[in-house]
Amino acid sequence: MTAPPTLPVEQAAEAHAQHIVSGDSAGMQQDCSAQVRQEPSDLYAQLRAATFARYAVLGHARIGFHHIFKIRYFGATTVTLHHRLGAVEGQWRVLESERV
Amino acid sequence: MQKFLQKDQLAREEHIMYIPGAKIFEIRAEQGLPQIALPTTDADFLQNRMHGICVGEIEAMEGAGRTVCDFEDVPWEFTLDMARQVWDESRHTEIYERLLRHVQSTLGEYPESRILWDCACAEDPAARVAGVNRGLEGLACDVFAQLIQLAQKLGDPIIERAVDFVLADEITHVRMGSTWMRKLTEDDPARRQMALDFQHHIDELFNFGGARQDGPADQVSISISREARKMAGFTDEEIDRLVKAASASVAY
Repeated sequence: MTAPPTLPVEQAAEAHAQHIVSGDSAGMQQDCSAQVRQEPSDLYAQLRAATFARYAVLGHARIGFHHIFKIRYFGATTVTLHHRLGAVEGQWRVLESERV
Repeated sequence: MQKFLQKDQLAREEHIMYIPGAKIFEIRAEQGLPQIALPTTDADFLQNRMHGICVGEIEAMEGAGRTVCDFEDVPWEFTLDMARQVWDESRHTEIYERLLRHVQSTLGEYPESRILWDCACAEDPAARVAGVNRGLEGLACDVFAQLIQLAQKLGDPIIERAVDFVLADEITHVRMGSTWMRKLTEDDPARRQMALDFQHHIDELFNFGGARQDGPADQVSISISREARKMAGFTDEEIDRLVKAASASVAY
């Protein structure tokens, strides 16, 4: 069994949101699990093409050991996403993101 | 006023997350967890269960409220009973919101699946009371009786008494539903059968593929409460039918 992540999951989610707002593709990729990196969704391509000025964390819920963050990104277009994070080898990783 | 609202039209605070039940089951399965939290597998069982009930009470309040609004061609006493039920459900929502705080949780800590709302949208009032008052409130009898037993085991009189107080109301809701289902369909056996079929569909849905069982409160996800169901007016035959259907449900 691997050790649980030391970083609070809220910080990991905010770091990912910050990477999306700043358009940091490498950071975005690094936040995601290997599976998401290997099979990136169209959503991430759209996020990379968009420009956001800021984000707001609207909610944080749990399903088992996974954490879901509802984050709204404000820019020319405003989108609201659910990011699901789980512990992978001692790190919080984005396992899934979807538009809501 | 618009009638027959869809589940994405329900008013919620921003922090409440709506995630379909099937998706929640999928995410739990990915982690090797059963569809529905179990006292034996989920450390946060009590919080999770309390949260599910709290959002269920909100949806039940909305459902009864929609029944007041959606149907005009029904006896006035039916509408009055549904309005009284809105009052009961709003009181239950407050009770469970406080119980959530009692177990160090808060509304929004878990997603809302809105499965209950789906069941409150039948277009025939007889089917709606069969599905909601007999199907869902029958489920509430099982879930609340189980929670009372768990609270007794934990030595928590606040949960035990608060839930017992709510259970007393749910028993009257089942009885009221049975009365109205019979009255609304008294000259129409085909309509009554459709209402009962809808209830059985709801019962099957909430067997959660075998999660509801005739078993000990601290070992199964949802234990069928014969005692509470009998107080609510379900016959032995109806309870046996449910137990049989639950055990025949595909296990997860």
